[in-house]
Amino acid sequence: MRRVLFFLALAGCSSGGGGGGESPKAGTETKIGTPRPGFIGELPKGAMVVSDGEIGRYGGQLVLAQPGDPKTLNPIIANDVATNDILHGPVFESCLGFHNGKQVEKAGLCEKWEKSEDGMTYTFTLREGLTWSDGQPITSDDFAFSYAVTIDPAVQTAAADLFRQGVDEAGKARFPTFEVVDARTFRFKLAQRDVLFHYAVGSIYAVPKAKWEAAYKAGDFGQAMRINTPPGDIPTSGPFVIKEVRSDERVVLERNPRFWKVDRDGNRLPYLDRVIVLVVPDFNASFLKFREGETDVLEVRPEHYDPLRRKESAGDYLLSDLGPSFNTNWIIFNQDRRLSSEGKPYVDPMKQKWFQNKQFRKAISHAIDREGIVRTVMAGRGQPLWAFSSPANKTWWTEDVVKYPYDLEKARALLTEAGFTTKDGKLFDAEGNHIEFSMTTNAENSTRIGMLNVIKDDLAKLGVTAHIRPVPFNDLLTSLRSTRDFDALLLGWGAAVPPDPTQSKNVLLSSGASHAWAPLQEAPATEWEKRMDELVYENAGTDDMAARLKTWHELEKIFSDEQPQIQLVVQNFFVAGRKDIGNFSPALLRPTTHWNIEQLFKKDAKAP
Amino acid sequence: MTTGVLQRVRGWLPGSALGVFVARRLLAVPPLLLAVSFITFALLEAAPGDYVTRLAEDPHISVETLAQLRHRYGLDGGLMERYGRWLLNAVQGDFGYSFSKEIGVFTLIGERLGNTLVLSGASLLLAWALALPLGVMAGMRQGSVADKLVSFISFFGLSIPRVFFALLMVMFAATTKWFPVGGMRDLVAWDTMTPWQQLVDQLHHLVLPTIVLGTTQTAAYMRQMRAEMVETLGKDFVRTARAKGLSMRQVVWKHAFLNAVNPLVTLFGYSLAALLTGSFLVEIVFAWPGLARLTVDAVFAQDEPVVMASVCMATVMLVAGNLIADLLLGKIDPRIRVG
Amino acid sequence: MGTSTAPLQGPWRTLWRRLRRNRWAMAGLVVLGLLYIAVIFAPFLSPYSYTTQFRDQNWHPPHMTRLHLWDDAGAFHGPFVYASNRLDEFTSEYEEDRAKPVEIDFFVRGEPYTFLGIESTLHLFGSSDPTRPIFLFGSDKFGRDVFTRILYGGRISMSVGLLGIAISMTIGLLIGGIAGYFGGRTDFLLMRLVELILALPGLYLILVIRQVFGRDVPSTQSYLIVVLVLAFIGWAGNARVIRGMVLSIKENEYVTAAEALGQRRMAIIVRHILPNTLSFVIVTATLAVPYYILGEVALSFLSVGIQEPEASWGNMLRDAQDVRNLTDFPWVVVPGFFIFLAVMAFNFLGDGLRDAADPRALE
Repeated sequence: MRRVLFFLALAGCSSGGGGGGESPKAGTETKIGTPRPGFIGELPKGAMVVSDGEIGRYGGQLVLAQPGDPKTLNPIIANDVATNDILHGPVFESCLGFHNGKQVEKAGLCEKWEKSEDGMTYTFTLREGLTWSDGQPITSDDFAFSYAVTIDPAVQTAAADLFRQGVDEAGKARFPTFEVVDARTFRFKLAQRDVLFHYAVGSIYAVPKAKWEAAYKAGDFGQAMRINTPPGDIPTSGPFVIKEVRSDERVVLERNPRFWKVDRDGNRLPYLDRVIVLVVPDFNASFLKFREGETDVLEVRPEHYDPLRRKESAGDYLLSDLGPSFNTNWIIFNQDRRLSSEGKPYVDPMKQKWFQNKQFRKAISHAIDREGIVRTVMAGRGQPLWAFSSPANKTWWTEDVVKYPYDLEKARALLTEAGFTTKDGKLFDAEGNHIEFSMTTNAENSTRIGMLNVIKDDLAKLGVTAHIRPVPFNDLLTSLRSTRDFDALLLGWGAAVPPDPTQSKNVLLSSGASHAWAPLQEAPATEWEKRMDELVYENAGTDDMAARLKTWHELEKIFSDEQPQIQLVVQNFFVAGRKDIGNFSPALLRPTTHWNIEQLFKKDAKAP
Repeated sequence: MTTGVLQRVRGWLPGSALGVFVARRLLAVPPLLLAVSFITFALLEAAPGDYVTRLAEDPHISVETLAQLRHRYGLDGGLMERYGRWLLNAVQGDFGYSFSKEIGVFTLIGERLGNTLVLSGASLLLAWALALPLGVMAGMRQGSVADKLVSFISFFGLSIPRVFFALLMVMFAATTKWFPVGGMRDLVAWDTMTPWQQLVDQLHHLVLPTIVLGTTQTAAYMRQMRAEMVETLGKDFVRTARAKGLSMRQVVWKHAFLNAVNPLVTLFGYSLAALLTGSFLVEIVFAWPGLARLTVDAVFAQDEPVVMASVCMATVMLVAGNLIADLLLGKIDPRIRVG
Repeated sequence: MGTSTAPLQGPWRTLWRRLRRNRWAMAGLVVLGLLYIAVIFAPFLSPYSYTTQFRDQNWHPPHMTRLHLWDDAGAFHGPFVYASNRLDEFTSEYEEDRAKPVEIDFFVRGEPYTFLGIESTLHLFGSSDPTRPIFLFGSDKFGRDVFTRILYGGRISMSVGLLGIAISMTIGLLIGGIAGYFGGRTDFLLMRLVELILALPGLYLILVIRQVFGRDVPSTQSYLIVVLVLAFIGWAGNARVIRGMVLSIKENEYVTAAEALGQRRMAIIVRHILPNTLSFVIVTATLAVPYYILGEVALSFLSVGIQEPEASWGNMLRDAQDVRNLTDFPWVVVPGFFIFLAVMAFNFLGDGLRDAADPRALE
């Protein structure tokens, strides 16, 4: 059998951080300073060489702030941003990495992976000589264990959804089977082809089997590695280990003395001695803390861009404009054709008729002043959005979509064409019903409320009466996911890593649970939704990039023409960081400021 | 504190009467807890969605995953069934695990309780230390310049929205750099400090939030104290005492003060319960790792076990506060028969 | 809080006479009177509707400090402002165009409104150029007139406190009076009820109730629900204090005398005991009206107060809770000033009332 081989990085190219095969002991002096704590043991044979970036120096600490506490120290069950930003990358590495800056995959714990020609078997090979931070070897068994935990319904992880491959005859979810080939090699056998399967594997942040199997068998894996577990008890695979967690105050990370990456000069990574993550719930406080030098990096809110830029020349920080972010904002009309459990339609049939009218949706889209939204609620730092994916998505974004510039005349013309009439400044449908509906979003989010404020005002100019209905966040998601009791709804989607269209299956497929305008359809209700379904499947069915781009662009065209989900705006993303941070290279994907944390260093760290 | 009060109180009450009084109060605690916990539980149930709902913001999460998570957290089942389950565990001392942090709720609450008590205790201390003397002074010299000044300051303290005040203080701290911008300690240099430096550092962090939290309370107590002083000083027995030739100072401290402080004592008992929740806005703005913040977050996240345990604890604090207030009241104003 | 109806003429007149001598209290009364008139006549006094957006002129600085009568050449125009132009599209900075005066007209026709059932388009004042709006107190991030929104927002902020305190005080007086006077089992049961109410964690309760009732009601109504909840929790605190006072008052000779005369017990409570709590009631009510106004600010901070695009002083002050707005657009604190003013006025008035109502106060 011919195999497609992917070599991700040069393996086995290592010599000497400490020279003479002897790694530096705690506090051993090197050419680039003294690591405290020092490294332990020999560099693994299969150590990975990070070839880009500057050569740094040992020492120093990085101080970050984030709004929330980590909820757990268990990388497998972590499912929120605050926790992932700390655990996924800085503390645990996975089999494959992702270069957030270039938006391409990169190597991780595995030195290579290969896929059989039929795309049904994936084989992964771990680097040689890897160990957990406590010195125990990292083996295929650890991955077998972690995979079993990930897909175990009793544990429940968000990552399990990436592995689910339809259902078997008995209606149970089907998962790829895992096979240990040897201590460094393991193999997945798939039930159906999945072009992104290697990314799914890349989302397993493995934990040592020997350490946690007992807890898992006892049924409390969920409670293993809690935030009050003694941190020394948690062996890690990333550049740092957890030193201390003080709930709602801070998390301290310290160098993993057995980390397996080196820079191109052979210095063992990471450069930083410590990382301190402060928990600062109020965004004013985190802004001021950065401005006053208490923290080293900041994700800048658009309204704080100007004040920071004004002081940039005097300050000791650099402000980077990363352009539009991945987070899209949109408004949908409820086109759900199903009946509720009481047998009533979810949407008033009178309104349903408007919402299913393409001309109506296009008219609404033309009536929304997206520039106005940017100017008012995003402090001028954003841009209109027309396509499904954000321009931040370097691979998949396309300019070639139908656009809806602010044009009330056009909007009125479209409405007249569709049989709507205006009387006394109010808009009526062909049956003489006044166009009036509510627009729901979550009350906590002032940006979203602000967008509805602008939209309400704009629609009034068409003679449409739109009410703003702010509800608690949970309520909003309940409406969207189950009760479906809304007319229009404004929300946003973020991006998965990697930002690949197949990740949006749940949104784009008419059978998807997040197909927000009309979810969980048994069969596509419209021709264009049927075509979109086909395109999604075609797109996911091949790894020929040219073919995938072609289907994706066709889908974008249909999506923008039909306007089932009226895309609104994307905010620009800014990051500020102290000038003395070496290799600082913020990116749009999380963790935005420190995705390359093992390479970051402090330029003023004490000279040797 | 309670035992000390009890001993002093015993001096003027027959021991058995006091025992009965206290016992009767304590007997009322379990039904109260039952009622409070049920109402809270029912309201949480009535609110739309549950802890798992918010995970659906991630469009990639599947319906099955959500259902299974719900099962894992015990969120499936009717109100009575779930309340029964909670109650059964609670009476055995098991208040469960926080959904979001997977930690036993009392471990979680224990960490925060101290922080919140430090902050609200300090501000209560500040409030009383300022309010009593200033209130007495203002009440004695009604209409004087000092009275007007005190009034004005207290009005000012009462009139400024607390969140806004807190934010101004944070900006003040950032601009002058005299005080840290929020937090409970210097989390960067903490490990390198001596215990003495750590204490100083914590006090330094405590100053601004205490001022914000204390100001409004000071104003309220001071107004109350002044009003009571004015009223008491006009009473017959004070006039009689004055007529008998007692000095103003003696009259004020022996008669008027004790009389005027009476309603304030009730307020004190009440403020014990407010200690737990009164500081939450300040905790948010100043990034203070307190219990109020934890609970408000838990309410928004519908993290039931945390909310339930906090509420039960607040109830116990309240009963204790009221009991202490009543006993103090009996001590200060002997005309009142306890019970 | 009156004792009975007919013989009150005298005491109330005395009260008014004493109150009038208190300059601070009268100042408070005047300020409150003006505020109430202003908010009642908001549609007429304000040049725009509180939702009108001039999006291309957001964060416009206040015209209040830039009013002119004479232009640079010395010619008299009547009140006018200079037109201003945005310096660049994104950073809300403006420059006055000294060549372009925009006159302010009085009794102009503008946006339609309904006031006391009358439909009208008449506004007290307005800009002579519809594309150059006049922002006395500046504009907010949507380019809405802050002056207009202050007037409309005051309608909510100035009314909720009165409603809340009326409910909570009435219940508090009755329950506290009965418990304190009757004592024994009644007292025990009522105090346990009070404890139950007090033990219900008000803040969390409000948050949850707001979630339960938050749906499908206009935000003004849902806020009213919150006010009612605040009141129904708030009475318990009052009842406790009043009970404490009643315990002490009922030992007084005149109460014993009334009992000896065989008066009905409820009558004793209402006629002889509760009036003695008047100073407390007034002080508490005075402190409590502002408490509702300030409470709304706190609820707005947690985004469970009045919702956009409706205006209230609390939700307007939310703009001031951003350091950037505070430094770059300092007029965001204007609602804070009005909150401050109203709360101060209530305090001064209440304080004066208390002094005036004190029967032992020196004539």
